[in-house]
Parts: sequence; structure tokens; C-alpha cells
Amino acid sequence: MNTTDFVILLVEAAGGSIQGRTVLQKRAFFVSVLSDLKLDFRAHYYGPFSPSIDAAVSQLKSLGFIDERTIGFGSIGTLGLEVKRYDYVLTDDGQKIAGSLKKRKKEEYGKIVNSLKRIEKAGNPNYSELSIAAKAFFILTQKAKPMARTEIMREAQSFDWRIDDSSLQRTVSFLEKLGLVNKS
Amino acid sequence: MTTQVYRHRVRLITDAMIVRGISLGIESDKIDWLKDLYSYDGSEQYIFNYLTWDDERLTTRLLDRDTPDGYAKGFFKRLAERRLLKRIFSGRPTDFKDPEIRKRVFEASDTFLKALEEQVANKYSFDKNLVIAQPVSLKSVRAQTSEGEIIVLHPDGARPFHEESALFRSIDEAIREQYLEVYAPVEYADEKQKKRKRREFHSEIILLIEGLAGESNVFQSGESAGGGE
Repeated sequence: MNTTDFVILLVEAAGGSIQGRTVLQKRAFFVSVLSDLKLDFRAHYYGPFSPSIDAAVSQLKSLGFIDERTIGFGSIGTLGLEVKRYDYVLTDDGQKIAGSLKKRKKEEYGKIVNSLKRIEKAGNPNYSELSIAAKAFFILTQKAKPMARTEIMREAQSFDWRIDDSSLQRTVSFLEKLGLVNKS
Repeated sequence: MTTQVYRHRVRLITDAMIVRGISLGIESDKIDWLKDLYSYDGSEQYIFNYLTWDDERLTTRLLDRDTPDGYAKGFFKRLAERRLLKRIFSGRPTDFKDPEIRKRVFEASDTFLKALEEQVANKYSFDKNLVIAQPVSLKSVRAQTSEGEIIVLHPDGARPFHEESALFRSIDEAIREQYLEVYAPVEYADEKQKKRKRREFHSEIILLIEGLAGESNVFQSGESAGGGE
């Protein structure tokens, strides 16, 4: 399955739309981990980020299969900019493509659907907690060893990521429910 | 910069000609020194040799009378004499109404591009090695900012770069487009013939592409998720 097919099926499995660029990237990250799909995630501003997913979204927008809608919240963020969210919605043509992909790639689509269900069952965190969970899991995978919360927070600083203890505690429980980490 | 340089027709054609010329010089003309120059083997010797080459040396050597005639020399001769290939087709996603066909065309697998080059060559009696089909796409500034924004400081506060820059704001939407282009060694007698032929090329090549899109074997690829699209 190529990355554009993966993105179409991911958005379809999420109900035809995904709210937020970070949510799209982080859901893709966890779905790829839970489904054992190999995507090229690397450390980025808001945690693991896949340039292939990003390129696939641009490609799909350009082909008219995904619509990117900008939602302004009217409030000003820490950088002095209006807080905005980019939502991704399958267009009519995108839904047609999704329909045929679902038939041709039943197994992969099933894996994506199951992974999203597991994420939902584990608490379906908002974009901020999903981002912290992705950062924590990315660090644990990179280090490939058991780590205390304080170690994860220290390691996060090397990627310029700020993770506070209470958020990390909540996301560890999410990762445990997904079966991705064990607390000892 | 993007529209005037990176996506300029002449730049796209000359780049494609250089790449095709070098590829055919290795694969078809079997020029040993060219193969050595472009076959990185990880050795220090390779690096030392590579560093002794530049554009001028490559061009001079390919055009040298000691270099046998062939595709590489032919392409570089065309470049030196400015007898460039002509763009005979430029199709946008909106030219393909059927979403399945649009998707297949713009996934532009090597198999598809090769098949299209062959069909165009057969239809118009060109040498298939001189027909080049390639997708053209450039990321908009917005797309290049990934999850975050490029922030610029303004007297009134911070602003996203793509909103602040008048130039990028105006071209942002346009350059998000992608195209499938075909270049070929065509000559036109005059402007009138050029216009007529270009219209014909466009409508006929669209039909060739749509025909190819129906042949599922042309689009099969073993690419896995994350496979560098």
C-alpha cells in the first residue's frame, strides 16, 4: 500500500474527516505502530512526523480527493497568532477512491479500522495528549530500554520537546491501554 | 522564484534532457567513464574522481570528438545548440474527470511513464528515447511548513510567512497544482502550425493516457506504505 492510499483509508476509517494536522500525523503514527505499517516518522516540532504523510496529503489535496479546511478560533496563541486548525475531509471524488480502495485493500483497511478503534477505546486523547503520547513512545522506541518518567522528560528536551509530568502520567496510561508500554 | 525558475518550462525541459542524456549514456551508449562517475561505490577513489568533475568538464567531454556518437552526445549537442525538446503536453489533474484515472495518472509510476513515452513515440514516429514524460509538482510554502508555521516578525506582531509575503500569498494556490508533462523532438514551421499541433497533441495524448489508465498492469507497483512518495 502506498502512502496516499494509506492516508485516504485513514481519513475514511476516521469517518471521512480528521480534525487537525497534528491529530492526523499522530493518529497515523499510532496506526502505523499498531498495524505494523512502515512509515518514515522522525522527530519534529510536535512529536513524530512523517514527511511521506505530509507529501501524500498535499498530493491528495492537489488531486481533489481531500479538502483542507481552515478553522479559525478567533483567539490569539502564545506566538501572537490566531489559533487555527486545519481539518481534512474526503471530497466526493475522495470518497469514490476510498470506496474502491476498501474493496481492493480489505486487509489493510481492516487493520487501520481496528487500530483507530483501539486508540478510541484507550481514551481517544485530544491532539495535545496524543502528541505527548507519541513523543513518549517515540523516545522509548528510540532508546529501546525501560525508562522512568523523569528520564523520558529529560530525553524529550534533546528534541526540544517540553513534556510535563502530569501530562506524561496521563499519556502513559493511554500507552498502557494500547499495549505499547508496561509499567513496572 | 518558484514560477520563474524552478517551474519554468525551459528549465524543466533542460533538466529532463540532462538526466535522460546521462542515463542513456550509461545504459545505451555504454560510456564507461560516465558510468564510473555516476555509480557511487562508497570508495575514496570514487570521491576523488567525482570531485574533479564539474558541469563544464562533463559537457566538454561528452561533446568531444573522441566521445562516440550516441544519445548522451546527442542530448548535450541539442543543449549546446539550444535545440531543446518541446513541451507537447501539459495536463492538470482537472483534465481527468474520472477520479480513478486521475489518481493512477498522477501516481506516475515508472512503468506508466515508460508506456506513455512509447505510445507517444509510436503515434508521432519519434525515437522513444527522445520522448520524456514526467510529473511536475512543487510544494507550496504552506505545505513546506509541515505542522508548524514559518513565523516572521512584523511591527504589529508575529505573522505566518505565507500570509505576510505578498508574492507567496498570490502564487501559493497556483503552485500547489501538479502537472503531467511530455517533451518530444518536434519542430514547428510557424506559430500557426505550432498552435494547431499543440491543440492536437493535447487532445490526442489525453486519449492515450486515458487508454493506458485502463490497463491495470501498467500501474502495478510494489511500493509499501512510507515508500518515499
